[in-house]
Amino acid sequence: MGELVTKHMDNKTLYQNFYSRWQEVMELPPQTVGPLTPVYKRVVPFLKHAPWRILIPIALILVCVVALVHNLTAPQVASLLQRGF
Amino acid sequence: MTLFKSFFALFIQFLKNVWGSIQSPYATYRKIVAEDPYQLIIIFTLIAGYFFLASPLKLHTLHPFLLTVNASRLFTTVLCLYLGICFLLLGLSKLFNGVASLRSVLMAWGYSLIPTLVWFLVTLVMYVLIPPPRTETILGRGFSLLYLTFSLSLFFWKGLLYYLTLRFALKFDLTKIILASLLFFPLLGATSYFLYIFGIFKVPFI
Repeated sequence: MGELVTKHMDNKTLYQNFYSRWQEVMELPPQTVGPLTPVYKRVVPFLKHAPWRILIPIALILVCVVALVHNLTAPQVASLLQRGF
Repeated sequence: MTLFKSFFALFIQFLKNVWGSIQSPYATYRKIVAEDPYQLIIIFTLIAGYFFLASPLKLHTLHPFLLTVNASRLFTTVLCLYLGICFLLLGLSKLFNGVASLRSVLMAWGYSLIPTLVWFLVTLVMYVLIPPPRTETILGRGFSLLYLTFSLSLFFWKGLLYYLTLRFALKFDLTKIILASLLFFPLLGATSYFLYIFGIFKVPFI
């Protein structure tokens, strides 16, 4: 009897989880970007979980590239920003 | 005791949401927009604390009256900006036939102030520990690169939270997000310019 009750409760939880997930999906349809949708689907997982793993290296690369290319040096920009608080 | 318990629970929820917006921002924002807006009290208490910490360094005085006036002025500006942006987002939602509620917008945009607060706090600490200007030495360049990378990373985080605000609070698709941003960013730029001209913020607290 106890087993039956537990099983019933498990099913209920499963159903509740399914129902809340269903509502989540129905409330907000998946994002599409026309022909670029497959690209979008490949990129977004990187942003969904621990996006800092991708964002920090991109920031570092961008800063290095701009520091090399641009006339303004990194210390000048950093000094300016440090006074911006 | 019950009040203390509820505040403790609220604080734990707030910490979970902050950690979630770093680790899994999509899932966390989906949840945040439906949560209790009382958590905003914690965010704005931290912001007020920051302004009281920053005021002596901005004014170069320890006069309590001047510090209180300055911190209150900055805090009121940030509060008005926050509410203004929330109502602007609601207006954009109406314009594009969205179904946003004020509560969800307040919560989503409120949590997007966390990267801003972190940047301002770290910049304040860095200003005290390693005051500018930075030099062209190896150490100076190294620190500058690290600081700029940190700033840009937080800027990306802020951008992501902006996108998630429009996605989950306003329930926009990408086309609407782009169109809304075309209206939102020029207004934000103009506001930042006026804040700079009036000497309120060099970097806008948005």
